[in-house]
Amino acid sequence: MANDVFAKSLLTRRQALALGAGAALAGSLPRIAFAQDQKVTLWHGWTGADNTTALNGVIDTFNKGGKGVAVEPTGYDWDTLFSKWVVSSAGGRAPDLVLFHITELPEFATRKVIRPIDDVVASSGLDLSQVPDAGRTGVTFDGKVYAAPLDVHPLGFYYNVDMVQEAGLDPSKPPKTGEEFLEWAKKLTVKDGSGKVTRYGFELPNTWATARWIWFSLMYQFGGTFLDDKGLAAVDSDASQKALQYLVDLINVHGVTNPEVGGNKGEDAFASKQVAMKFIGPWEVNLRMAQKMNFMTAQLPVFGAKPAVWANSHCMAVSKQKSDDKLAADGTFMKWFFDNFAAPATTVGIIPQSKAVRESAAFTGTEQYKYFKSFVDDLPNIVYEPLIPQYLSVFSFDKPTPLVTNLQAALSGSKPVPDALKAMKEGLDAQLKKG
Amino acid sequence: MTSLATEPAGRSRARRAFAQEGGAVRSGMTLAAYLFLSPYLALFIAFMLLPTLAAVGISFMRWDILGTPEFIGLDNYRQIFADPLFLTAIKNTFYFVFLTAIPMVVLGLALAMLLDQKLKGTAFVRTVVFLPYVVMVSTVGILWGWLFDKGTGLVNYYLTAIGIEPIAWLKDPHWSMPALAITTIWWTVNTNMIIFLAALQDIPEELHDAATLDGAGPWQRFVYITLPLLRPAMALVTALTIINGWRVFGQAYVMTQGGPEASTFVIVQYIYLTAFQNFEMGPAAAAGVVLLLITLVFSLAQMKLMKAI
Repeated sequence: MANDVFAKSLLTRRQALALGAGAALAGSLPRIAFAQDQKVTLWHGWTGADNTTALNGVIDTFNKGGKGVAVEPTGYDWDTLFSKWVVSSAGGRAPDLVLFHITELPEFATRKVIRPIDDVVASSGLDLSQVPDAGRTGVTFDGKVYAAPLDVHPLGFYYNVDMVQEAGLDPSKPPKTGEEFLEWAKKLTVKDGSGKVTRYGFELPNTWATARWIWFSLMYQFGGTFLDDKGLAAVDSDASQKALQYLVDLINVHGVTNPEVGGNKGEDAFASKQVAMKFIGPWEVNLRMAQKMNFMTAQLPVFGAKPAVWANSHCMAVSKQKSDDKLAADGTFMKWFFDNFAAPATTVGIIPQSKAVRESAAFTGTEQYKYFKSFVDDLPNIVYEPLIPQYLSVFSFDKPTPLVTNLQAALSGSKPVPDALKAMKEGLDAQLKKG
Repeated sequence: MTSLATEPAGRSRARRAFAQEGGAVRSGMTLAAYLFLSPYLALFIAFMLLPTLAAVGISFMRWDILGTPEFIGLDNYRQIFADPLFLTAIKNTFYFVFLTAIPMVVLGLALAMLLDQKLKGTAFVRTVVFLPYVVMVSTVGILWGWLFDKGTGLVNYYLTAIGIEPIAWLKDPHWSMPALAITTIWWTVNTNMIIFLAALQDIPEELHDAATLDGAGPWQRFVYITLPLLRPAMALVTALTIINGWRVFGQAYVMTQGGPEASTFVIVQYIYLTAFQNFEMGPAAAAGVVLLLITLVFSLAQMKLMKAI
């Protein structure tokens, strides 16, 4: 009797074990297939919820595509990403792929945390001929290609259509020159009975990087350059002074903007109707659509002698590793990502570098495209900030660098424009000479 | 001859045995004490003491994390003291300590005394006052960024209501540091309050009762009973407030990023910027050592002052 019970219970256990093993095997079958995939780690700085979701969605599609490569993305804010990456490289634990801005590339190439990828581009078939010259130059350092340029995000012109109509202006004919812009700015600035401004025509915040990007664009429009031919700062040139003085005059002479309005985290002066116009990159298109704002975008007006507009670009590079055994897998993903960039570009709000992707229905057929189009039209006029190894320390936009501090001082009125630019040049030259 | 020399051999042996036994007990207790301390000590040594010693060493080196450190003597110290940005950071941090130290202590004590009353709802109010402490610095920064906004912020809304012109708190270099100080006081004054509250509750009721019987009013009781008995708590709170003030970083980083015009750029941000943006570990470590010395000097001076009082 006792034996029967034991036998019965043993049988049940065997059955259970068999069932369990079967289930485990069945459950892990796809895993076994994917376990053979070569793992590639990717670090990036697209940390906004929408951006992360978009990127992860695209990577999921790739991972399920049976290409033998499984990409594992990790997002950090840019500051953390860079410091973590350099420290990890020192410890021999760098990620395989890293996504950052092309302006930062010379710094990482000089620090030798990335490797040239001419061989990867050739073997993977990544078609760099699709990229405009400026983008290709941006990823080339010492004659070698170091990264795949993914997108470009120039400054653009956003305006509130309702306010423009209320002011008796035609929203289908946005200003193209400095004079037209000033006319709009004046008409869009609203004062109450006591003469106090209740809405400014234009947003020019004294914090974050917007003022720098606008001044940079105007400097090139007036015929200036940020660096001279010796690689030192040329920010005290006539063109640079004209550009900055124009912005300061918008504040002090014309009263159409106030550097104390907007700019900080959480301060959305455009949505809260404190301003009617602003210059910012295409990454705000999705935000404005989500806010259901009646807005439109246009190319940056030409204030100086020629069109010029600040831009930057994201690129993907390969970290320097002890062994090159993942290079083929790195290349497989980079090419796929480059060729399938329409989806992340649309969600993040950036313009694909690849002409084929930029002109594909996957990008032009989106509801965002009517806003992206002006940014696409401005691509021939883009100017990248200087590609120098000291980029992070010189152009860091949220640190009190000589550039930021003196620009803020000029806009706030605590320093006259020539003095601010002279002090800026001295500070910048000290940084640039440091090497 | 001493009495010990004439002591019978048996008693001497007993005394030695007792002394040995006592020694064994004492050494056992010492071992137990170290064992109890060891979890904290291990973490302290691994994450505080060794990194601090390493930082002192690195402050004499040229090192960009990736390369091999190279000894350069006092060059890093010379470099940071020649850097106007470091001097600005010291000046700004001192200003922050000045703006926060006294209100944090006075307000902490005032709140503690207010919440030491045996009234209905005190426990609830204590919780409410303590709540900001559990909020992350990034949330605090963003929240107060909204409150301080010139156009839409609540602070300016109330200021305008009482006839004061709106202030560009975070964009005017004159107001940015006071704005950070207000934020910090709101966020952390409750820790001082808790320490004071615990100390207040340790003061025996009888002392107040006796003083009342002798005709002492509330002010006299506060000055002659409460304040003297709060001296140890006051010393602790003042020291912690000053040390934390010198270490300020998160609020400034989230709310103003050190601006406008470097008006809120503090020492820890200088260290962070130098180490992890510019990858100059030597000058960053040197700035860290300077910060350590500053806090040490302030703490020692404050301790001396408290003893003198």
